Amino acid sequence: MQKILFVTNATFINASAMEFAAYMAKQNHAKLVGVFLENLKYKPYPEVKKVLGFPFVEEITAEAEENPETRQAIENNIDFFRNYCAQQDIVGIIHRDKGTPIESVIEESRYADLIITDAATSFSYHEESVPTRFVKEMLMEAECPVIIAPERFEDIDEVVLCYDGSKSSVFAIKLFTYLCPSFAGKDITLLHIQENENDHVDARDKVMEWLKIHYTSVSIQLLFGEAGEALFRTFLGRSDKLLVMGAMGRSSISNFFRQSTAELLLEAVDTPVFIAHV
Amino acid sequence: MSPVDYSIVWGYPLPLGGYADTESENADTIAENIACFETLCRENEIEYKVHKEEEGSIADIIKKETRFADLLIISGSLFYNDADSEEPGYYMRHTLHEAECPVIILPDHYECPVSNILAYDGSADSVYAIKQFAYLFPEWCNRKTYLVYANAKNKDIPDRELIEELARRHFPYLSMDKLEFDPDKYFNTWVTDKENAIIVTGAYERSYLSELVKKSFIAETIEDHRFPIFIAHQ
Repeated sequence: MQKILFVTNATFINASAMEFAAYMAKQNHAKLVGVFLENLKYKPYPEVKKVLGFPFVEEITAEAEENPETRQAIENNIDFFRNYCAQQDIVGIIHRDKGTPIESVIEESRYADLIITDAATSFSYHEESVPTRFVKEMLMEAECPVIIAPERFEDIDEVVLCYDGSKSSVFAIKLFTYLCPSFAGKDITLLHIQENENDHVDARDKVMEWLKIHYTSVSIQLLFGEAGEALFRTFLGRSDKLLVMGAMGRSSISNFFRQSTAELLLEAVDTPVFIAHV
Repeated sequence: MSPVDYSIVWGYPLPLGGYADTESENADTIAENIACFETLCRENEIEYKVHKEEEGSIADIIKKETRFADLLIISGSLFYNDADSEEPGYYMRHTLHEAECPVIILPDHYECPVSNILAYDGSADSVYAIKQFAYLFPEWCNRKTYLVYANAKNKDIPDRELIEELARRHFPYLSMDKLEFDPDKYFNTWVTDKENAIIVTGAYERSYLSELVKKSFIAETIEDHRFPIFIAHQ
């Protein structure tokens, strides 16, 4: 892996997500690109103005940048990113993308190996639930995998690969393996998720054959039925694990996790989650 | 940076992936082919395993095996030699379409590549293929690499800065070439001047290859120049 994007709102940077991004860049000797997104389509607060006595809401404006406070905040965040990279001895560069944030980030993702972001990244002027609409859209549309950074983070001791026999779950496992060879020596758990105990084995022997070529220490854990919730309990507060899974909203794994569970996982669990879609 | 370096399998033409018609092919021939595969692996100290798939359609087997594999290597002669089929190239198209991992199409006679040619057209597929190639063949990234954008209308390389930033990081010996000609007619001439290379491209007959270089491109390149082709699609 050579090029990691750290995606952030230019006006607000999450320091723990930054810390995690720097960790991943360092582990994999990758360059870290800070993608500072500014939403120029809307002002932070739409104002009702009156012209000739008729009220109207002014929408499209580029004033955000001209606002000295905003400009100062962006400058500070960019300095923070630069200094942090220098401190950690990683190559860090800045991309400032102005326009529609989701479009910019999708374009950038085509030319990147991995995105790291915070589940709360938002460009809405309303309070949003986590993961935000921006993050969900990114998970579905990005042309490279995305890691949702944890709130607290120390080190990763174990990688948990979610497997349900689907194309998407295997794709995520392969991509993670290619991108992060530095984790090959960690403890690997294949979390085999089955809807119920009577399901056939879903080519588990084939996936194990593949895993044993790539990893030295692989164990299997089986989950049945309401696994999403069980998973949630298992991972609550475990920032030492990294969870690898197929995409939300497109594959069987997502049905399995039922959207509410996956969101719960991203919202409240301190576990970093690697998500890729075919 | 993948821990398994697949360039090791190079130089040993593996008799994998033949579309043996098990019903008409006699069992001895199959046993002979497997023995030949095993001997080559042993001689070259390659760890190997034979999967004998006897049930299910070819499409299902390809799908299942490639889901759990990093790379599929197939013989280029299949590309035009399925003359029995009513639709020439049918197997190849089918295989490429069904495969869930990247595919290398190998000419019957080739020399080991010493450089990489990345066919780039700005599409998601072409970049996907470049990334997959870099992940699977980290050793080969350090070879001379040509990122080629061919366009008769003299357009600029799409997203030039972004693709350069990505490609230069993966391929340190990169040159970016904008070719101002119709790739359909002249790509093969251009390739002639290059040292032995592997050509990296997005999906066959979907975007780049269908519109820009057409079907004949692969066949001709394999046949005339004996260059292997690496194809990946999402």
